[in-house]
Amino acid sequence: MKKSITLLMALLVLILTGCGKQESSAGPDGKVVLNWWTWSVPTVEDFVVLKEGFEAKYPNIELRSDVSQMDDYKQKLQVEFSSGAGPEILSVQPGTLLNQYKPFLLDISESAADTLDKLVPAVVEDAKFRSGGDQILMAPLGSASTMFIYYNATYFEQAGITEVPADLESLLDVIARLEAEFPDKLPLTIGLKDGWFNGDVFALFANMVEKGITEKADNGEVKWNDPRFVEAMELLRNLVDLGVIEKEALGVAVYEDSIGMWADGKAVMHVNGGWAIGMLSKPENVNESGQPYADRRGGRATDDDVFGAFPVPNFAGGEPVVLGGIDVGIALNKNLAKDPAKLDAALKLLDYMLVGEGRDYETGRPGAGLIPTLQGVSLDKSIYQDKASSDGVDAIVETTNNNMAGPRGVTSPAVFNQMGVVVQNVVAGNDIKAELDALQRIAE
Amino acid sequence: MFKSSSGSLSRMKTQETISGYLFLLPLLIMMGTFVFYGLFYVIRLSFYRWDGFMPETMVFRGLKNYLQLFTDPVALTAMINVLIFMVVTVTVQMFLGLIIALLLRPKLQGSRFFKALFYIPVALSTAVIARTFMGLYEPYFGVLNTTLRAIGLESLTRTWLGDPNTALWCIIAANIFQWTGAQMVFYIAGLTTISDGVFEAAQIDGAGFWSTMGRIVWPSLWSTHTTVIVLGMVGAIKTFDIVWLLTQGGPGNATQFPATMLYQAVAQNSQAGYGAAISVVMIFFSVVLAVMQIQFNKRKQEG
Repeated sequence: MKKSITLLMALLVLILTGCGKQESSAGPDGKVVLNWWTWSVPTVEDFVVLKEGFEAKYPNIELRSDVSQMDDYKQKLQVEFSSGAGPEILSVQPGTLLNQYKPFLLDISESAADTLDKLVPAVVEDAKFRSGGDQILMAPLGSASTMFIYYNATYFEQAGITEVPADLESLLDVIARLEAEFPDKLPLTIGLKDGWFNGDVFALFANMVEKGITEKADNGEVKWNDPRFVEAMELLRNLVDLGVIEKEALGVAVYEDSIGMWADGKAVMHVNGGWAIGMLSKPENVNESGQPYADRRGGRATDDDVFGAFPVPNFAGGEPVVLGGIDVGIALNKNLAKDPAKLDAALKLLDYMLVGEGRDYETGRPGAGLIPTLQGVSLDKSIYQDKASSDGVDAIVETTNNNMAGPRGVTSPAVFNQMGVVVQNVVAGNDIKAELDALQRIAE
Repeated sequence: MFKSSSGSLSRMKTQETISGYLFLLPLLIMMGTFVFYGLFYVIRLSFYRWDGFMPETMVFRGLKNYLQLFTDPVALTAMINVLIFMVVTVTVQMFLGLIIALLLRPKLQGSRFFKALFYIPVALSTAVIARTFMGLYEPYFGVLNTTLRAIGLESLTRTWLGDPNTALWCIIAANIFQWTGAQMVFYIAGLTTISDGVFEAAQIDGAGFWSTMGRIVWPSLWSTHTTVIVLGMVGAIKTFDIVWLLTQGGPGNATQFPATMLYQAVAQNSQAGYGAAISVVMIFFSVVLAVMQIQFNKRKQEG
């Protein structure tokens, strides 16, 4: 009896203490191990290629990766960083994600200076601005902006539409022609079910009224229930009244529904960010491993259909505006400063991803929507052979470079969430002023 | 001889008591570490403002988190939603589960197949259920609206998940579909406590399906009802996954539940203190409802 009790207690002690094994700097074969966590950039498939290339170049470093869905990713980071651990490398996005983890990230302005010097100076400045002060907490992997209207150019041609709409009037004309030509297809689909997307919708309409106004409101210089925000939401409400945006959009998710309907040929136009640029490439364009560059989620209209894109017209009048800047950055854990071998390996990885072969792959990968941050490098136009798709790429790149009204997101995630709620409620028909007052209360 | 035997008996009893407690110790340690410590930590946290990262940034703010919660209109929406959800899902699942169990009680050919069929949704991941129902509810090409259009009932088509008036009911329907099989299993087990002779006697006396159910089955299954109701109520209070997957609490905040508010506060908005206050209120309501229900059934059984 005594023996069995002792055994039981010993087992319990083992169970309770046995799961805290610490990982040392070196792996079992003496290699320096780097753990890179991300949500979807790079993807699991990307990591297969990146790991192979990076480890071939640096045989003494082992690259391990962990890809999670965004919400899970945030939770895992929160738990890990709260306990003083966390991965050595992590993918971040400026705004909420970067702001949340700033205290745990390493300033790379000096240690990665050689790599950063080779990037577009404006992008590096943006990284510095997002990081706060003179520090740089993320190395910019790629830029992106939002929002654009992706369209099926083959259907446009069949409906006799020769020019992409540039204002509300021409957009209404295009919709009328499409409805007449394709009564069973949706002229335009937008997914307003997703909070992350609706926050951007709010900011886009606000910046149509006045460039940079969301940044001002974020800094407390303008109230969120200012008449300019009221005007912005009235523009949105007007689109609902005119039938450009249907109330059904509130039941449509961006990726589960909207992009699939467009790619399947059930819808002619679809609203999304510039990161969906890969959709403009035909499925016949494949990379070295045989994967098509077009990430046509949900299917495709036909292999021969040509897709194009243009910026969402400015419904307040004037040039279209987009929001964005650095879309994805790579950050290093502050703890690396205590481990020179790991820090050196991590800096090699940064260089590989921003300047070296990793960048070649990542910004040219199937479905990639990242605009390169390396000086003198643009997107590979050879996979966008048709005029509509080539013009679409130019429109996205040029608008991103020249018509940026402000960054995506705001400092407070609660405010950003509420911006999305306002959009949903305005589309549903609620009182605009009351919704903006609620947003202001959250901000306070 | 007698004295010695009594002493050895007493020693044995003491040893047995000690070993009993020792066997309990691992569980007590585990419960203490992972349940009670967590519980007290959450209660403590609910009086602080904290972003959930570095403990040194915690700031004591007294009852302000609770004040914020009780004056938040979204919290009121969440409470009303959870109440409607609780009453409807528990009631419908109970009745459907009991009726299915009764229909499958006779050992007919194929009853095992149907038991398995009704139980399949319980075994499926909520993500699978949610994706299936999203396909049903999708406003343009979804099964529901397409069918309604095909049979000439276009006026009944809706933006099911995007309309504040229908979104909650869509979530309720998905939940009922998923969990009715679990209630069926409880009632199948409960029905085994009623002997076949009782059913046969009722049949001989000419009792039909509904009178057998109302006069024999229903009163005989109070302990099963209690289990089903308590589990259903507690489950309703912590409902999160199906809501998050189908609507994320939208459109607007029309389908917010306490658990989605909690998730948004902690995981999205970095308001760990406020999230803790929501948790404490959820725990309080779970305990109160469970105690009330158990007391009610105890009195019912005693009466």
